[in-house]
Amino acid sequence: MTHPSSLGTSRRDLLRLGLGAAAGSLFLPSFGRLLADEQAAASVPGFGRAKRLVFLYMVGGPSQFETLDPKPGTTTGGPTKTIPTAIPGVEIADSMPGIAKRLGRCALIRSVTSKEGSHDRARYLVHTGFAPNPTLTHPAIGSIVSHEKGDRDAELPEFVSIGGPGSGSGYLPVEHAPFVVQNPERPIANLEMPAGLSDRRVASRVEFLSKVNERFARERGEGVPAGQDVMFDKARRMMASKKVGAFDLSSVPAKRKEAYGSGVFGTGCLMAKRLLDEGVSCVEVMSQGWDTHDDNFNRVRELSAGVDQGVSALLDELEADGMLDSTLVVWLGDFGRTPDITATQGRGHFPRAWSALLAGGGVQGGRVIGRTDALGRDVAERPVTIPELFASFAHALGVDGSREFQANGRPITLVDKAGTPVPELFRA
Amino acid sequence: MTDTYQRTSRREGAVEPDPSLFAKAPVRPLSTEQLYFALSRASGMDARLDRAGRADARRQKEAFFTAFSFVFDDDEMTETEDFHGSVPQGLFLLNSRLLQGAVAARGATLVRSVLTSSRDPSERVRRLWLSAYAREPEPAEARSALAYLRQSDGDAAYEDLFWVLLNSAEFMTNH
Repeated sequence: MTHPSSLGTSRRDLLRLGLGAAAGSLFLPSFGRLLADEQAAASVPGFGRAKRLVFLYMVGGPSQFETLDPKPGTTTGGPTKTIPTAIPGVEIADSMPGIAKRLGRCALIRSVTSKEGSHDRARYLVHTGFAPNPTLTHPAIGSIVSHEKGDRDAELPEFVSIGGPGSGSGYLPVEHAPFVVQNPERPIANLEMPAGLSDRRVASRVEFLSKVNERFARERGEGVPAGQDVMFDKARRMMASKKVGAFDLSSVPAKRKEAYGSGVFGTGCLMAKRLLDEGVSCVEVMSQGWDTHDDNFNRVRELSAGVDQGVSALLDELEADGMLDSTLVVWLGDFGRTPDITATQGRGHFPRAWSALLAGGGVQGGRVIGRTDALGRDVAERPVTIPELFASFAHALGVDGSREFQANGRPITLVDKAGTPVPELFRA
Repeated sequence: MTDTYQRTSRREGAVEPDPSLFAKAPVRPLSTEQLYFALSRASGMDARLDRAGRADARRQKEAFFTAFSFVFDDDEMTETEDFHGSVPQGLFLLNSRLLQGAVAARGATLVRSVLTSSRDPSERVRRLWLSAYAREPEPAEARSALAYLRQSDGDAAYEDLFWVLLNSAEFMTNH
C-alpha cells in the first residue's frame, strides 16, 4: 500500500483515484484548518513532546467520588476518606496513596464531561474521541498513534492492548489494530511454532501459497493475495524477533514484579513498560470491574489498590529511565458514577462530571484542572470534553488531528473538529 | 435477480474495471463464521469430533470457535476489496492448534484419508483440490503441486500442501 504522507500528489489527483485506491488511508490536509491549528499549536507549548502513549483504561466507569474527586462529609460523598497529595491543598481518596504521592507529576482533570451514558457507546467515545456513528468506524487512539508515530517495519505490533479487547483500527488499515493480550500472566497465543513444524516448512508453505494464489490474483484481483503476503510476513517477522521477549515476564526479577503488583492490571503495566522499552508506540492496559452498581465502596477500594500500585510503579520506572517526559500517560474510564448512592450501596452511570489523570509527554504535573460543585452533581468550572482531551493527546504526540482522511469515500478528520487542546495541561 | 447480481468475480481483460460500472462481482473475505465452518468442514474436523463421540465434542468445538472468532472478528470494513490480515490472524493461521489439526496427516483426518485412499500423487492432489475447492486442479496447478510434493518427502509435504490450499485466497474469500 502507498504510504499516504509520501504521496506527492495533488488533492485533485487523489480525489480522481476515488474509491478504488486504498480508500481508508488517503488523507488530505485541509488548509484553512491547518493554519488555524498551527497558530493554536504555536501558542500552546509541548507540541510533539510525547513519542509514545500509555492508555490506562478503567472498564465500566470508575467512581470519581472514591478515587480522584472525593466529597467527604457530604450527602453524596459516602464513607470515603481522603488523604493529602503532593499538591498542597488537594486531597484524593485514601484508596490511592501511591497516586497521591505522585500527583506532583500528574495533571488531574476533575471536570471531564460527556454525553454517553451506556457502556458500549461511552467506551467507543473514550477510545476514539467520536460518538458512535453507524456509517463509519473511527480508529482507537492507539491505532492513530500506530499510524502516525509507528515504524512500518517494526518487528512488534505498534499498538498493544492488554486486558482487552478494546477498540480497533476503524477506517485505518488493520495493521494498526491493537495486538490484544487478554491475560498478561499467560503466554501469547499462537506465537510459538507448534511441535513438528520448522522454519523451513513454514517458509515453503508461505512461498507456495503465493504461487497457488497467482491464478486467483490474475483472474480476480491482487488485493487478497497481496494482503495475505503482508499478513504472513508481519506474523513471521514477529515470531523471529528477539523483542517478543518483552511479552514473557518469567525472567523479570521478583522484586520488580512486586513493585507493579499481581493481577492483570499490575502485570499489564509491567508488560507495557517492557514493550515501550522495545519501541512499541502505544500500549493500552485495561482494568476490568469498575461498573459498581452494587457494593461500590468495597469494590472500588479493592480495584483502586491494584491500579494505584501499577500506575505508581509505571510512573516511577518511566521517570527513572528518563522516559516520562516523552511518554504520555493517560488514565480514563467509560464515564463517572452518580452522586446519589443506591439502596445496594452502589452508584450508577454518570457522564456529566468525572475525572481523568494525565502525566508525562509534555503535560505539566502538580495541577488540578476544572472543578465539580460541592456535591459533585455538575462541572462548576472549566468543563473538558472528550474531543478536547483527544485534541490534547494529539497535541502532546505531535499529531495533526485536523488532517482529513478519505474513509469509505468521505472526508473525516483524525480528531473531532469540536476539540482544541486544553492549554492548562501544557502551560508552565 | 438481475444480471448485475449474477456477475462473476472473474475479470475480463487485463484491466480492473471501474467498480461503479458493476462489471464484475467484488471478492469478499468470508465472514468469521463462514471461514470457521469452511475450515472445519474441509479438514474433516467437524466430522472427526462427532465421530469420536466425545462427550465434550461440543465444548471442544465451541472452544475452537471462541479462539477463532476472537482473532478473526474485527471491525474492519469488509466491503472493500482490500484485504488486510492482522498479525494475530497471521499467527493463528501459521501456528494454532486448530490449523495444525486441520491439516494433520496423523489421526482420523482428511489428509490421512487422502493418503490412504490412493498411492498415486496425482490422485491425492486431485482429492485435496476437490476437498478444498470443490473443483479439479487445472493441469498447470496439478503440475506445480506435484513439483512441490517432490521437493520434500513424506506425509509432511501433503500437510504443507493442504495448509496452502486452506489458506489460499480461493478458499478464504467469497468470489
